[in-house]
Amino acid sequence: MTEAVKTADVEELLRYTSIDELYGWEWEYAKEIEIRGKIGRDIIEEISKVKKEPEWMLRLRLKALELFNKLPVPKWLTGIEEIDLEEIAAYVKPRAELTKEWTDLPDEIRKAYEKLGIPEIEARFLSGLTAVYGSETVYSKMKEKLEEKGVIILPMEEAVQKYPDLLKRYFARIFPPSDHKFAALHVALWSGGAFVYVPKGVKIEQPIEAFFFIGGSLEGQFEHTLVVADEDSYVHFIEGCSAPLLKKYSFHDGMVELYAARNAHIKFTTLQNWSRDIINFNNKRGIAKENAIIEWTEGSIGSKITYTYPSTILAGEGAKTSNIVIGIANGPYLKDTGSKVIHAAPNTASRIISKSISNNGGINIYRGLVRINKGAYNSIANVECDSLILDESSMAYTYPHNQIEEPTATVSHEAKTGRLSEDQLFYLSSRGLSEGEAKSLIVIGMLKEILSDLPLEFVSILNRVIQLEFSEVGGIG
Amino acid sequence: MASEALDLLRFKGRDALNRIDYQKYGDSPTVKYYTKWKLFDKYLVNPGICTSIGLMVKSDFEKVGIWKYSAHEDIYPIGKLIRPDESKVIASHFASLRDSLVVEIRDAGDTEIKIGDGLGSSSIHARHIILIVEKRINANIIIDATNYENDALETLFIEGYLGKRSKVNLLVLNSPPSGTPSINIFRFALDSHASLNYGYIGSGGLMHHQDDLFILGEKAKIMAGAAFVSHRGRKIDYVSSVIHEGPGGESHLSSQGVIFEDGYGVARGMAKITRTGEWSKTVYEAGVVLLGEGGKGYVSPMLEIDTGNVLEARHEAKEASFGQDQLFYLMSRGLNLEEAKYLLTYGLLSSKISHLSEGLKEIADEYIKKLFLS
Amino acid sequence: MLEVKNLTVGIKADKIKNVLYNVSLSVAPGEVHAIMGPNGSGKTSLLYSIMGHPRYVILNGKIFLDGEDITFLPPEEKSLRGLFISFQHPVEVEGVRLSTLLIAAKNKRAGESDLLKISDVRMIRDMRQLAARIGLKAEFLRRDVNVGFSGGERKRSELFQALYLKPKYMLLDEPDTGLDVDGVKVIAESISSAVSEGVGVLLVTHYARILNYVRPDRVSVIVNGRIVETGGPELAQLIDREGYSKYGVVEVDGSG
Repeated sequence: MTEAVKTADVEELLRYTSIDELYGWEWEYAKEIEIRGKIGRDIIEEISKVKKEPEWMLRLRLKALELFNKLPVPKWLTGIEEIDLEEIAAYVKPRAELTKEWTDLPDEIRKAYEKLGIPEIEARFLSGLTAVYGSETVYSKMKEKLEEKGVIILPMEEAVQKYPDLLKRYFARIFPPSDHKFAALHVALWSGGAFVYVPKGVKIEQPIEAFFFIGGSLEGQFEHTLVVADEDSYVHFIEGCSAPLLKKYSFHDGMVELYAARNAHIKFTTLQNWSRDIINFNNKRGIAKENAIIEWTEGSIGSKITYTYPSTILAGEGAKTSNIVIGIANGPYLKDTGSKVIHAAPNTASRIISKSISNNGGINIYRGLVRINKGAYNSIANVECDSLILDESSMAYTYPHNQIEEPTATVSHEAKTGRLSEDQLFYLSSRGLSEGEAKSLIVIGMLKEILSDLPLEFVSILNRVIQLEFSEVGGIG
Repeated sequence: MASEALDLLRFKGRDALNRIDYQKYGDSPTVKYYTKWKLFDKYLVNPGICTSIGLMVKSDFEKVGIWKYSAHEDIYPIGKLIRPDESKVIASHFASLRDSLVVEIRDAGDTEIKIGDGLGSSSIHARHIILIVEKRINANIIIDATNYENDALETLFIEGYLGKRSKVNLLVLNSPPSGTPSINIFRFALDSHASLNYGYIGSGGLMHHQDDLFILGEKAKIMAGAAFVSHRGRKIDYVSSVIHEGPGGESHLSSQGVIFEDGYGVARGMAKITRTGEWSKTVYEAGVVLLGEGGKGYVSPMLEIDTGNVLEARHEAKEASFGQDQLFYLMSRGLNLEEAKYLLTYGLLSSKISHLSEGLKEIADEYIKKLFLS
Repeated sequence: MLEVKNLTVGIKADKIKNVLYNVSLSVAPGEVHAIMGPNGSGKTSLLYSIMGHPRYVILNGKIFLDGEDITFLPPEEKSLRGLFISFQHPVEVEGVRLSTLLIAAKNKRAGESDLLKISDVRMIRDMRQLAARIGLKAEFLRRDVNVGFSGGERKRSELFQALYLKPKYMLLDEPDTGLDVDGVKVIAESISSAVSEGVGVLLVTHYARILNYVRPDRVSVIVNGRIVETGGPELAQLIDREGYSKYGVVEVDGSG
């Protein structure tokens, strides 16, 4: 005990804790975004020309391009693979060579579904194909009746031509291109999407449905949706996203803007089942004025990587928002989802619910922001995150940020990450279900909030997708 | 006596200082950095004026099994848990490092070990402590970093090693000067079945504090509580993280900031369970209370779980002023508003150190009371 | 016939700890075989082992279902072949509704590949009628499995599932605890009527109370993981009067 020599034990500890070992836990997939190549003014001008756009829209696109070149890559994002702008440019260039049509689905995928005895039509949806947006079928059913009431539902290109005044007021105003690099890229290259205007006091009972797909055609990739609900109106918009298996990965960078005027209520539901070669970046933001309500519901099933953070700015007194985000990462995929709410007026309320399921090496990330500005008296915010990890190789990360600058506000955040217990699995298997079937039931249970809002045919197809995902036969794509 | 290892660290620090940033990634979508790094700039230049270390171990050393070394003796390596090229301020710390206090605890029993005594009698920038607790040893350690007097960048780094089945109660009292920026980086590595009861109480000027608690062996246990107070114009960024590398471990981290008028406080950090840390349990709580207009409170408790084999993983964040009902109740018992707030704040802060050993708890309690008087 | 032959079982903890020793018993279609024993004697372990809970390791012995060796089949396979276990303390399964579970289990048995398909509205109607018969309010069908159920509601729900899925053999673990006398009667009547339709029942119970309503054909007593006595219904009455003292077991508090 007297000699001043270290004992073997501590030596061992010191050897073990070499700093490199300690820092070896960085995410395996972590890569900074690398953007190669350039998008030129000529492509933008060409897009604008083909669409016969008015001058103001071309100017907006060019301004966004300038911002895109100037803005840094968001530093808080990791995980995205390198993006080749020239490749994107080639994709979006009008009249450029189209990639394969969806009818060219690889045989092995088609066979997998046939083996499972799913009718062909369903199989098409499962692999990410369905009604093409832009065709009349999507909304023609309700069109006439609504037109009488002054409701506008149009493809975005047509809206730019017909309602320039409305569009100038809202387009890329709710989510300005200056926000970040990918917002700028979107506004520079946007193509396709829908414009919805609901006049004062009009309540549209049935939901409006739109499907977007990436079929190698330009419409899908940078679609822009804008919903403007005037005072005391109500509208529910459902978007479904799918894509066939593409030969190469594809980059999707869509935008949704919502504007809810005084007492208006907008519900926006997204069901995303892109194929596994799509890197999916979403820009979603809504502004709720006095006593207005915005509800975002997002179910993210497909894609290789998804970034989506539906956001609401509560700009009027008494405005409310509810954001439900559900991420399912089954396989080596990344779901970087979350939600942002800015309380900018008194007595506003927000609720964020995030649920995620990671299986088979999947990674779910929740990234959230709740900000209460000074003067947003008595505002209340609640955040709940539930992550379920179904096996030892999957991961779930939760990154909440609560920023409070108003002493009378109340913010609470709760998160838990858990697993399916042995006893729960045994219980379900004692009723005759395999492990995969048990997992799919749990997932479908988690999606309840979304499912209750969707039309029936959606629900039954979705149920099948999830059962297939978790069945032993193997997932999709 | 010169130490080559120390020279090398200084060199690495100087080399990294101009090459690297304060931090690689932004902190949040709306607040780029929770610490105002820009204000550190002017204090980073020309480091290295100090020549002596004013650290003390207040104890009858070898009688109670405590060995004290200088970094120059090269007994234990420095800069292993904290690397000179991690960030700009860390580089600055190493660039101006002249010595380090190395304390090895072999048999302390119930003796309280006090390190620091205010830490700041001479003009020193960089303070560095290597703390080694041998296996199966119990230790009660107080680090007193309350008595700074310099107009300089104050840094206090601790690299701590807790041997197998060691039990450590650690209390840190911290109040760096209000006018200058300061940074603390405390890293602890825990071997199997080690247990760390950690309490931090602070009120600083412009302060960045970072705890990184690594559970390396199996079934090690950490209870950590932090209470900090941010007065007018003060900015505290308190970051506390635990990383479960060893299996079957348990951690409970709880940070609470109290922010007065025009104060600024951040309570954040991360609880991580890696693939090898399966069947661990981690609970992370963080919260701030705003007690006046113009205050800003940010809370970000993060969770990274790399395996489904997890016993429990959850976090909670709460930000609110005290409820009207609570205040009314206390006022109906005869307290005025300020007294009621004082009582609630005191209760909130002292709950963060309730897990410490009795002796340390008393000291902590006194210090919390003192914080309100400043 | 469900037969257990010379079953020795350990439970997985830090190391394997034996919970059953050389247990043999059988139950025929239309027969009730009661398993009685003091707390911690191995009654529940026996049912878990038969059903194949992963924590229970069968070290020796075999389980036969109608002559087929099912010892090491996974639980879902045993379930599909006609075994049903009702749990004494069923676990909560958050996210899965009771009705969803039953539709999935039923579809699985019918060979329907879409687990959630409601091919026939009668599925729901039958479920509601059956629930009413067991005294389970229809709203429980829409609640998540066992989440927020009271003790009595859990018992009703477990037996309700058993009756709905129509197994060949029911393994019932204390199906009456937490129920009042009327509840016990309802449960017992349902069990008896299933038995009269040819279902074999292995009924685990600490007390003889339920055996006043469901008449057992045979009674086995299990103590410390071993079957110490097997007899007719009179054995249950004896235990009712004298407890387990004759087996050297002193129970301070009789709570189940």
